[in-house]
Amino acid sequence: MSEAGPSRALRLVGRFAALVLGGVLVFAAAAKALDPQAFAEQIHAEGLDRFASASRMALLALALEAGLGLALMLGVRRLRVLLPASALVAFFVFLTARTYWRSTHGGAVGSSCGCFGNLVERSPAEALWTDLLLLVPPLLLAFVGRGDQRQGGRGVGWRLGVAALGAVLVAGFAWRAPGLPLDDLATRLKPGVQASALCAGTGADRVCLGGVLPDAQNGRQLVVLADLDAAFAADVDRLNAYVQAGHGPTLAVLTAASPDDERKFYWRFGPTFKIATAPPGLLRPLYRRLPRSFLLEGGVVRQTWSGLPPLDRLAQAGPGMAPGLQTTP
Amino acid sequence: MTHRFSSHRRHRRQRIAALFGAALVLLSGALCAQAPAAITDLLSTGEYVLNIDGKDVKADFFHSERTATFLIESAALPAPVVLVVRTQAAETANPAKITRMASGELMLQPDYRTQGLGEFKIDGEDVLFDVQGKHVRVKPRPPLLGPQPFATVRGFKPEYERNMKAYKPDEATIAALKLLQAPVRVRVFFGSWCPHCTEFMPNIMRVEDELKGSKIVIEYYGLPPGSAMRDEPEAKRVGVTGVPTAIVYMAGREIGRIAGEGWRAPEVALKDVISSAASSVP
Repeated sequence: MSEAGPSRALRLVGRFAALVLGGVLVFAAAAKALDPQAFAEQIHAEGLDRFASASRMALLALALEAGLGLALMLGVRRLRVLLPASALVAFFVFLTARTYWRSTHGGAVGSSCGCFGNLVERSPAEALWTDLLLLVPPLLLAFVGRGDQRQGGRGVGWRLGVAALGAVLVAGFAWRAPGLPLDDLATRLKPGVQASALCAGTGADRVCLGGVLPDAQNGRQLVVLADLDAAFAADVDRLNAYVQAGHGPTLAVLTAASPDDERKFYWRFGPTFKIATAPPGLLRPLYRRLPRSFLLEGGVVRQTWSGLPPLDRLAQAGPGMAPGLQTTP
Repeated sequence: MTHRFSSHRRHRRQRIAALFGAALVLLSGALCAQAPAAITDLLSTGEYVLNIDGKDVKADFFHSERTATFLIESAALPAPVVLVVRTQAAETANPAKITRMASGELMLQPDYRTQGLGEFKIDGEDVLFDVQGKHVRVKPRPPLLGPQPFATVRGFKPEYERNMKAYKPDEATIAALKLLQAPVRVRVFFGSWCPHCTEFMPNIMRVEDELKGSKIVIEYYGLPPGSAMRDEPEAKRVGVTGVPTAIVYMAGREIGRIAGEGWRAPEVALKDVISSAASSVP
């Protein structure tokens, strides 16, 4: 008398759930691999870099997430895959729940990156609920209809091999990604986006790019996202020269620096362009590396550049004397 | 003979033409060369205070954003002082070369300089230089803290008054708010150190000016910069985590807040808050 295995329907449900969970994990890993630096910053902020540097932890976590996701997508539902996947899901849910709890108990209210990196803007509550709904039900269902995985494990070896290879490829991609021209793909700042749609925070604390750039809705404005550090100081003369020439769109530098740091920078380097400040939570999803620049036209992002914009080309936009300067004979 | 004569004349013509051309080039070069520019956008600013030999003194500061230049006028200084940030130069200016324009801006003629005072020094956020043996320190203005009357806030920085004048509230919304019968209290939490507040808070100050005699009362509360803002007891009590934030009360109960984008047109945001509160009343 042979022991009856799980029904065909249960097996299908389990396989489908594993496919969904694996797909979510692979998508999340890919989204974060586009901007591993932001992921490393998140790891550091969460205090998860005690045993290795945040960058290494980020690469390891991406490899693990992608590897487990691929294994699940390929139908490997052995405990050696499902248990680490459960631990990973529990960890993600714990992080988003903790952020949500902090936000409701007087902590800084802002967007939560959650497990999808910076691509998607989500409030702490949205991040928690999305993670719970997208990860927990498929995880639980993936345990359903497994049967005896030792007997039904045809081709498990090569499938795990493919998953391992995928994990290595994702980690390798993440390692090289900062040097690849993927800013528009990896961030929320891309041509066609409205400045008023690039926001962070919730409720009364919600702040949008259109709100921090005073002239965002009017005419053409060239915006440089930058840290007010020594590296950017080397660019001040070029930007000043652009402003003094008085040609091309008006220039503003947008930074997350504090008013104190902004004042110190001003007195040390003498910028003649407008410096506007914005919360880090608003700016971080807009770049992978600083400086990054974009052209706003009527409140819409028309073009983006890694680094400074082509100032010479933009200065050819037309003649004109910069306001505030009057040539005397 | 004829040939030699015509050749001589031709050479002479060529020399004259060459001289004329050279003169033209020199003349056009002189005309096209960038002449020293007058600084025409010096606007009064209340961001700094002047300290001479350890004592704060009354002074007027003017700032040109386009040239990163400051002009300081004070009875305690022997002459107006110009700080050219790009070259870190401090120099005294001839008062006769400073023109007050009708727009309220000052214009500094290109030949304003009377004496170089050397490079100014930077000490944290302060700027230091010496004039005739006096040690001068330019410091960031200490913030306004706690509850502040409208007149104090308005007079704190010229930027507030300037931005108030520049803001044009929506007339229909102001008219609708004036008709309101129930008393409304608006508490504006701001930082006098915060650039966004300098930019946007004058909008609600202008609205207050327009709403004189109405049932709407607007109060101002200054918060300290940095992490001290979150720890400020009143900010903590009402849950203010960023500035500027306005809390709207009706019958002693909070009915909404103005923050973020709402500051662009605070009268509209205020009306929306009041309307949504009214519509939620059963």
